[in-house]
Amino acid sequence: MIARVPAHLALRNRLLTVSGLPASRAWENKAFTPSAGTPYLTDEFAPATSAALSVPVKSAVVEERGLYVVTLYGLANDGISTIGAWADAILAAFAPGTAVTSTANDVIRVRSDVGPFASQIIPMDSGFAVCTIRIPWYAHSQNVIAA
Amino acid sequence: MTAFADQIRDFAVKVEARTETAFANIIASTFDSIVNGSELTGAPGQPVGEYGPGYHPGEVGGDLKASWQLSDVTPTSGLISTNSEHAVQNEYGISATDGPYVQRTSIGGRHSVAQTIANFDKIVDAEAAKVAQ
Repeated sequence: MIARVPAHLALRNRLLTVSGLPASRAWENKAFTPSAGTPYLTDEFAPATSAALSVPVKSAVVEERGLYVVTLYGLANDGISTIGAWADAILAAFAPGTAVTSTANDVIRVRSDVGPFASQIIPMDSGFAVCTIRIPWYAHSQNVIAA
Repeated sequence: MTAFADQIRDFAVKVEARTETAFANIIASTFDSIVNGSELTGAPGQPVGEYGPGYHPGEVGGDLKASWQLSDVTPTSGLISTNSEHAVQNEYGISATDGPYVQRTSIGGRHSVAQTIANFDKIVDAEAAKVAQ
């Protein structure tokens, strides 16, 4: 199995290479209070499935899949250009086939069979307009059965 | 008609029946993944509110989960939908008001539709394998 936290951080580090994104960040499970009128973004690491692809199972290739979710909180009633540009920049940084290597030497790849996708821009009562980018990923590792 | 032609006809009938069966099971499994979660897709399913003292006292959750419907099913299509105002917020994990989205239940989670879509191939493979037996 891949190491979860390094994998998340590797994807986050890739996100941090994208210029022009909101400077205010609400990282997963970190306390954060949004400020009215200040755009921000959040990230989530959502593992999904795990399957052994080969035999014998004791040394099988294991494929794990999941989503890396980036949510952009732009300003409501501010049009589509700014949020749209952020979304495009993130999608470009996580194009299908993009690979990131974690500090645990796991390689996490953006899926190409189901590529990343951004939602429509949704204005909320909070004064923010939200756009969610889902980045499907997969990673392979060698199975290890504990003694 | 020759014996070979009879065999071809029988094969075609069998394929059509198995395809319809597989599709019916695929759409049922897809609906189940979104609503109840699935080990095939990793979808957590819809959250069900846990209510207690000082927190919607006397109410019972489950409106979001119950709002999902499977309808208009034909041999080749179906519609999975919801009319709940909470569906978008929960799916995307966004809060309608100030502050972060807070899930107040240990049941279900976010991104069930997205996870189901992303891993739809596992549903198809599983159901196809069943009818192939």
